[in-house]
Amino acid sequence: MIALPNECFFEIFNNLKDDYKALFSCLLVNRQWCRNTVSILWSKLDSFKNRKLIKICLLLLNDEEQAQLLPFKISIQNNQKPLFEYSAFVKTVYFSTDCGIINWLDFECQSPRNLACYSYHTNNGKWSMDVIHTIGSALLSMFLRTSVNLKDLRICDINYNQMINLTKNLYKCTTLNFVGFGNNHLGFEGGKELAKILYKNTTLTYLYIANNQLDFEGGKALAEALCNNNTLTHLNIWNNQLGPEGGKEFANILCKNTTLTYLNIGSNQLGLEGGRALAKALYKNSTLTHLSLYNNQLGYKGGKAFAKVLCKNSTLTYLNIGNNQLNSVEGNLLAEALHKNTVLTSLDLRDNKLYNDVGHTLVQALSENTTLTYLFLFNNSIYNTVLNEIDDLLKNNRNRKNAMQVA
Amino acid sequence: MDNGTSNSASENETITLKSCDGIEFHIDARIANRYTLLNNWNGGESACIPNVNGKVLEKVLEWCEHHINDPQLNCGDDDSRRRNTIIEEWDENFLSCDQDMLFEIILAANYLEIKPLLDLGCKTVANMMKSKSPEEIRSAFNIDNDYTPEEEEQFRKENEWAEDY
Repeated sequence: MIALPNECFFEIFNNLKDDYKALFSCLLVNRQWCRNTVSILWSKLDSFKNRKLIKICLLLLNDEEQAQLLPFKISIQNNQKPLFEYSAFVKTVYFSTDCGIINWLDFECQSPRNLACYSYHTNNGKWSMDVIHTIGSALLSMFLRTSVNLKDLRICDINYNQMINLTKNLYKCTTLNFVGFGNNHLGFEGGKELAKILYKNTTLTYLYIANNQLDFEGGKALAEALCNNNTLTHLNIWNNQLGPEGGKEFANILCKNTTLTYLNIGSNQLGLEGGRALAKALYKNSTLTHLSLYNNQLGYKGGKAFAKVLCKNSTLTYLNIGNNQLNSVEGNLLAEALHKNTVLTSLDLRDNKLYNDVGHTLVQALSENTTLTYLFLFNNSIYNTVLNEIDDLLKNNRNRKNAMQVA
Repeated sequence: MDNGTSNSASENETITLKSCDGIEFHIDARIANRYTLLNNWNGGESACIPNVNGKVLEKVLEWCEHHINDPQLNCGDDDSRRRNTIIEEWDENFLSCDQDMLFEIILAANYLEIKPLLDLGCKTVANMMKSKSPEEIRSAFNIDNDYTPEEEEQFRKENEWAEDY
């Protein structure tokens, strides 16, 4: 074979980046191929279901991380160090399952030398959550310490006791762009730790922390941190019991922060007070393009506040105020706002109490408005004939937009 | 990348390129305008392209000519390059040459910074490796195994998770 420079090899193997099996074969061809494939093979670890992967990752633990496992009589036999520090190649970690760890435990304990582990079976023959969580958390600590190229870290649905500690360790990663910590019961303490990270971090652009029971206190800490952060562009803080006061804190950020473009603050019991504060903030803010307030008990007064601000705001392109008990009056006001607003492209009003009268005013608004391309009205009380009329008008707007883009 | 001037040369204008073994090619000037590096060797008389011989240069220029009206992709935009995963029939036929030529084309495309041709060549080679064992790859590309048996075994163990990932 003709000798190719490494940059060409890299281009070739990069085409196989999602074909782990092919990369594995290439890695075993010879030393040069190995050097050129190993960083690609290890760049994206988006599943930890495989016990063999868990086994190799455990070999990368340092003494301190291994010590966490000693109370469970798990000793990692690494008399033979791995040939590469593989974790240094890792750019993406999606950790959302314990099943690889469980498979590893099941397999390792079949061999007699590790029988000690058996004592950590609970009565029903399953591994105790303690041992599973500790192994998972040691592995994640290792990635935070050694993955010098880590950009995208998503640790979701695991609810480890050690989550707060892991959050503290996030400062070690100076390359992170994306952090997803959904469904982890971080609580207000975890929220505060994340806030500390946000004060210093200058790389993170996307933070997903839905379903974490942050409460007002955790939310407030995060909001305060965001006043000083000018890197984060996306924040999803859905379902965290922020309450009306939490809503006000976030309204306050929107008055000051000029980098955030996406905010999902749905299902947070913001109520009229929180909603009104956020609507008011939209008079000042000229950065936010995407706001979701689904299911926040805004009520009719909250709906009115958003109808009003839509007449003035000229940045927001997506607004979701679904499931907020919106009625005819505010529905009609929103429709009227669409006569004036020329930037909004998507409006989500699903799961409200809108009737045909609103449907008709929306039809009128859309015969004039040429920017709105999506309007969601599921689960209201509007006749299909009216909905179809609205759909046709939206379709016109979409076609017009596409035609303009092509031109 | 020089999008603005890509087609500024008129259709009849030609430039002359000379391969390292002295073969001259008269090509549409718009080709050289698309791939700025080719412009450097315009002139023919004394300048010739080092490292690329006539046989390979002919193939490369044949490809460039066929694709002269392609929309130009932004070189830095990895996504727009990867999105284009389907290899057109013409390109497939073009690259069903012998293996040495395929690698020569990749080398030349890399050297001359003709990104779309480099991508195409690399994609073709990558496709040839799919569903093959290491041994099958070695024999397909005539590659020697320079691992010690112990080393090979350890690499296998450390990465075998990828087999059923």
